[in-house]
Amino acid sequence: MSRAGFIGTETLGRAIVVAVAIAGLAAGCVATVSPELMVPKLSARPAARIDKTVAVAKVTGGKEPSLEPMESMTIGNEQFEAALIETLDASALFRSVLRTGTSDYQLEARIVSQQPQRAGYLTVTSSLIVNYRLRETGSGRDVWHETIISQETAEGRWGTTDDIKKSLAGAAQRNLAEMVEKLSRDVRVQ
Amino acid sequence: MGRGALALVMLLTAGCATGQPVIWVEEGVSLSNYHAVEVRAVANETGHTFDFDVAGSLTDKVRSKLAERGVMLSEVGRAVEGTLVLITSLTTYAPGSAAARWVVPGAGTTECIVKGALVDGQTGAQLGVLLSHRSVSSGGLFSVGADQWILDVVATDIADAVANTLRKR
Repeated sequence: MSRAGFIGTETLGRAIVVAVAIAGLAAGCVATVSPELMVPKLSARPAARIDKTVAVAKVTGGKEPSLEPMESMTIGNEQFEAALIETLDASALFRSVLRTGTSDYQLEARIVSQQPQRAGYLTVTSSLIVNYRLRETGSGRDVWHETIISQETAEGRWGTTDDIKKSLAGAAQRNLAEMVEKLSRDVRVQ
Repeated sequence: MGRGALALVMLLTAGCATGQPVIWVEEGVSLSNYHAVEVRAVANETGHTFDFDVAGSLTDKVRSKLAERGVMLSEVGRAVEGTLVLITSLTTYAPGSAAARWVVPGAGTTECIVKGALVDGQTGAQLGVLLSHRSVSSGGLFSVGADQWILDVVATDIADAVANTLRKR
């Protein structure tokens, strides 16, 4: 093969590798779990309503996905924040969930840990720990805090990251549902 | 690579329990003033019964590993001031199968998840949480016995996490 031919083949090879990588990214092989998948279906209205407004502070501790097989799908800060806002809205636990302006309370959430682990050939179990803290906006007083551990096992299809995505989304749903339940049970506003 | 070297690499990497233990202590809380730990029996919340008492075995292992690390153990139900109560539950246990792992990596996974809470012995206030989520999904026949030694790994995770947190100033 001539030198020009060899370079042409090498360039073509690199182009194929890049194209496959881009196709992989576009197909969602490396991504964060979308917020709508993490919002739980709340079975009942909360036992007690908190007649105050709340805003959600920036979520911290989330992870960016990487090319590591078990980290190709992760829960990101922005996505979890969106799911948290949606969950609070759906729960009707507070008078309203503010996106702008000053609220009576600020709810902070920190993702302490997220661990998807293989539990079978096409099965993954994910565990998730989130620390929640509700503060009075004016005084900064800590009104309530709780650290919740949740887990979910899910199956996927061969050659996809469905199992990781479903198990992380399920763990997030359980975590958010438990947060609403505990918040509604524990917080009493005078 | 020679066969001997290959076998050595396989032995060294075989049957590793993946996962990272996590301990989380609430903001502004220090556990350095606690001088004893009351280890409550691990509750079986898996919804299954097993060939042997997995939760009971974990309870014994956590107690003995804490004692090995120099942590003073308090009798259950006799928590006094300065006693930290460790309340744990087994949420997942799958014995798995080394033979299945040998045939298809990922199949026959051994898995164990224990979650827990660190509670003040007097007030009952929750001071933190911990989690050990371990699995063995590869290693084939080199991972024989993982259904038993994964319990040691999980108990070590818990004992290390608690002992190290108590020592932190």
